[in-house]
Amino acid sequence: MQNILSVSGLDYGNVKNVSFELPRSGSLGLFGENDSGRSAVVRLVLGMIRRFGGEISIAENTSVGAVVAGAGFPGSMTLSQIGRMLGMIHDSWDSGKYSALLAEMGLGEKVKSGALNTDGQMRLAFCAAMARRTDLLVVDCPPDCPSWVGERVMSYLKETGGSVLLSARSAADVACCDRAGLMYAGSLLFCDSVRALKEMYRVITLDEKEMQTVNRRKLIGARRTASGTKALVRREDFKENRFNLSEPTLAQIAGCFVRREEARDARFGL
Amino acid sequence: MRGLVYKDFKTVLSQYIVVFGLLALYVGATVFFIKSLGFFASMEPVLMMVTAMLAFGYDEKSGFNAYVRTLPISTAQIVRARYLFALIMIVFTAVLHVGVTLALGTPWAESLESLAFGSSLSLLFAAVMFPVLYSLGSDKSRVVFMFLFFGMLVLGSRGDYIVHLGTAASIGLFAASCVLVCVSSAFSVRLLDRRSFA
Repeated sequence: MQNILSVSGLDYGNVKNVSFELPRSGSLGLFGENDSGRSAVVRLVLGMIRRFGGEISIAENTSVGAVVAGAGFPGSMTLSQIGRMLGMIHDSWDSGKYSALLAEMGLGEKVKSGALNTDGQMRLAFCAAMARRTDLLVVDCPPDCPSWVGERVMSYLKETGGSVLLSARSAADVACCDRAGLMYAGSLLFCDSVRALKEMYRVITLDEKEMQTVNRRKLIGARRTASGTKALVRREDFKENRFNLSEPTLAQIAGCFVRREEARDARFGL
Repeated sequence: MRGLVYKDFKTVLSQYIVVFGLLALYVGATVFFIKSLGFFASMEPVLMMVTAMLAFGYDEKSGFNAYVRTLPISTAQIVRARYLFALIMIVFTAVLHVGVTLALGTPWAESLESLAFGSSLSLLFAAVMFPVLYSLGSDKSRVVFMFLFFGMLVLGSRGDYIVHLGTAASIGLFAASCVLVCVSSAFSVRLLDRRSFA
C-alpha cells in the first residue's frame, strides 16, 4: 500500500530517530505524556519547526489540513472574515460547507476568533480543514483532548477516505485510529496497527512459583499486584497453556512499555 | 498571497482607533502647527511601521504565524505578502502626502521631492525592520523600532532642510531603497525559513 506520509530518522530537540509510515486512507494516533515529543513530531511533519535531521516525505499533491492547539487565527477577525481569507488561499474552498460546519460546531460567523477558547479555536481549525479538499488531516490535541475530536476524525475517515495523523495524550484519545504509536522521552517505543499490537502481546499474571520458572527478561513492565505479578509479554514467547494470558488493551500495552522505560531510566540514574 | 494581505488589513483595521488616531495626529500636527511637509515625510515610515508591527504582533499573539506554515503557501509568498502590505501602506501615506500638500499649498515640485524622500525612508525602514521582526519577533523588535522612531523624530524636526536633496539624488535614493527592499525581502525569506514555531 502506498504511504501518504513517511518519516524516517527524525531528529529535533529531544525527538530522537523517530520513524513511522502512514498508509493512504489510514490513521495513526501518536500518544504519550507531556514532553514526550508527540507535538514536536506533528509540528515537524507540518513544517512548523525545522528538523535537525531525518526525512519527512508526503505523497505528491497531498493537501494537508492542520488542527494544531496553539496555532490559530488572528483574534480580531470574525469567523466569516477568516472564511473569506481562506477562500483566497485554497482553490478547493467551499464557503457553503464552511458555514454549515461552523453552525454544526456551534460557532457563530460573526464571532471574533479571539473570543474563542482553546476548544473553540480547535473547532474553528477543524472547520477550516474540512471546508476544502484535505487528503491528510493532522491533529495535535492539547493535554485534555476534547471528546468530539475522535468522533470527527472517524466521520472524516469514513466520509472522505483520507488519512489522519492524530497526536494526543492518552491511548483512549487515539482509539479512533487504526494504528498507534507510543512516544516516550522523544522516542517512538512502538508504532503498529492496533490489531497487530493486540495480537502480538498478552498480559500475563504470574504467581510466585511461576515467576521462578520464567525468563524475566521477557517480561515487559512487570509490576506486583494483589493477584500476582502482571506484565506484558510477546505472545510467541509464552505459548504454553499453563500461563494466565489475556488480550491487552492499548493503554495496558503503553503502560507496560512506559514502566519498562522508567525502570531503565531509574537504573541509569536518569 | 491575496488572502494574507486581506488578513493584514482586517487585523490592522480592527485597531482603527490607534491607526486613525495616529494619522489624525500627524496630519493635524503638520497642517495646523508645524506646517512643514518635511515633517510629514519623515513621519511616513512611522505610520507604515506601526501598521506593519500591528500585523506582525497579531500573527504572533494568535499563533497564526505558526498556522500559516501549514497552509499551501511558500515562505516566499508569506514574506512577499507582508512586504506588499507595507507597500500598499506606503502608497496610502503618499496619497495623504498629496492631501497635506494641497492643505499647505506647497509647490508641487517641492512636494514631489519630499514625497520621494518620505517614500524612500519608508522603504528603508521596512528593509531594516522586517528582517528584524522575522528574526526576533514583534516584542523584541520594539527596541529597534524605538531607536528608528526617535531617529525619525530628529529627522522630522529638521525635515525641511533634508528633503531638498535635488531631483537626481531623490531618484537615486528611491532606487537604492527599492533595491534594498528586494534584498531585505530575500533575507527575510531565509530568516523565516529557519524559524521554528514550537
